[in-house]
Amino acid sequence: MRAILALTLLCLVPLTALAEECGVREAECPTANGFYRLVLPEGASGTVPALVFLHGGGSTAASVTGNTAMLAELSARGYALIAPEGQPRPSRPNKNWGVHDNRAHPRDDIAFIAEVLDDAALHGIDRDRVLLAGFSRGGSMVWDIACHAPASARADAPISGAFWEPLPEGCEAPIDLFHSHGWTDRVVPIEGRSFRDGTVVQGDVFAGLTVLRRTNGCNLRQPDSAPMDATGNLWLRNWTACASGRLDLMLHPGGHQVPKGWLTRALDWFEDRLAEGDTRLCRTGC
Amino acid sequence: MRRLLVTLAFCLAALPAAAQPACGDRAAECSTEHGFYRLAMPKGVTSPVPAIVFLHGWGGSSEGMMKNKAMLATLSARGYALIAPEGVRTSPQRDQKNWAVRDGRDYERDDLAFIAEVLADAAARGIDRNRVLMTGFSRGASMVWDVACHMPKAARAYAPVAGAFWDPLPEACEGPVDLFQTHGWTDKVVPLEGRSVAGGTLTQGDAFASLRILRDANDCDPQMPDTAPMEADGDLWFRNWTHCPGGRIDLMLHPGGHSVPAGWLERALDWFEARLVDGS
Repeated sequence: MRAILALTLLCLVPLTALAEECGVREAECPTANGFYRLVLPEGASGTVPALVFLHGGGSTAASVTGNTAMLAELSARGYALIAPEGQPRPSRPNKNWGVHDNRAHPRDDIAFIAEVLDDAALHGIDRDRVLLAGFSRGGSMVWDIACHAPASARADAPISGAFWEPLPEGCEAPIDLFHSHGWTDRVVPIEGRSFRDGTVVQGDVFAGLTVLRRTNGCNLRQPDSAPMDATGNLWLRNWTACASGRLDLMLHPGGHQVPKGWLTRALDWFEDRLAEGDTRLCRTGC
Repeated sequence: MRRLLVTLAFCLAALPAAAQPACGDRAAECSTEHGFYRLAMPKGVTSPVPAIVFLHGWGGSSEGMMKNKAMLATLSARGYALIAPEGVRTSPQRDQKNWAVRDGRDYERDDLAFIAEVLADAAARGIDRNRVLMTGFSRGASMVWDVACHMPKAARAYAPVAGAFWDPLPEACEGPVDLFQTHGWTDKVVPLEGRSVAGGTLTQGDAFASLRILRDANDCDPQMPDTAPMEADGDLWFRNWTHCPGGRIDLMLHPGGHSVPAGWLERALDWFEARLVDGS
């Protein structure tokens, strides 16, 4: 009996090991302080660009890699998907991100994401072509990383989440950032929402953009263009002539969601950023 | 010859006096201690009547306001008077009229006091002080914001178009208000985020930050609107804060630029009458 058990274990161990090879969606890629999931594009050779997508509060990395439509589009465009897993909340199974929100969090998630990206680089990710995105609480984590560790990714595309209070006075360096938000979002409203008797408060998106404009030297305040798409369903504001970097805002009529067509639009925007060279460092007077 | 000249001068002096229209006629200037305004009373209505105060934009005039026949027709049909106060010259050398908005500069006239003076005078001429909607465009809208914030009881409600506070933004306001803000998404003269002018010495405030200050004045908690509807064709985007204890705030964004959007007056009057029905 004991021998059978041992044999069974022997069989199970290699099987599990095979299934856990980092780079396929079923696998967990461990790092010192957590894990992430990585899905490389099919037929990729050499280094590939990547989309990092931070899941929403209470979700998981597996739910991100379970989005087959997203994976198909990324793979078709030659991108890898990196889906880091949030940290457990104290006494709750839901996964969370260590957003700067007045509370103490068990893990430093700015350091964790840096760790994830270092590890992903060993698996074929091009560190210079990383777009950092995230939804809801994950979108807020993107804002934090963009502000406090701006060199982490080439550009940032948060959705339905921004800074939490207290808002930072300023950020470390200019960035390229494309923010999307639903006009009728009631979970993370554009103006934010408060919890726990007002001690934990989602920040105002417009106030957050003011902080980023200050960082990028958008001294004109106003956007260079504020187009609407043909149907009038998307309202955009583009700050393209700041001293450094670029900011884009897209409001859509929906609620707390990733709007239809977001991935295509975000990748197009990202590739425009790659094509124009690194304007985060210098646009005018250099 | 000399006698003829004197007679002529006498006639010239007397003629305008004889033809001088009285306050209440849109051609007339209604004088107050620190300036003047124009008043157009609705036709065939017994006073007291409700009124809309409209503060002209920078460089505009009360005379220009009174030339807006479509506006006057709508107001008259709905039984409203139009009160068009006149701003003051931007400088002795320049004829453009301006408002003493709190923007870090000093102004000779205190326009909060002037507006109060205008309303007191208009009340003596048949305006119902309890049914005054204060509106304005651009720099005039910024003056409306200042009145709403620093003298909130001046009017029953406020409906500024294409203007907000200037920097430095006030820390807080005197009391709650009902306010309906209208702004163009593509406004490049007074953009939603504001703009620096006069070589960076003056800065238009951010409309969203301005609204936040009003939400605090109205004790809005949460900060999110109760509803954020869009018109069927997607051309107008609204945010309505209807449950704040102190008062109600509404924002309407339209696709246009620095303009009063089509249909604004009817919408503003409908909104105002709903506030009158609500009670204070």
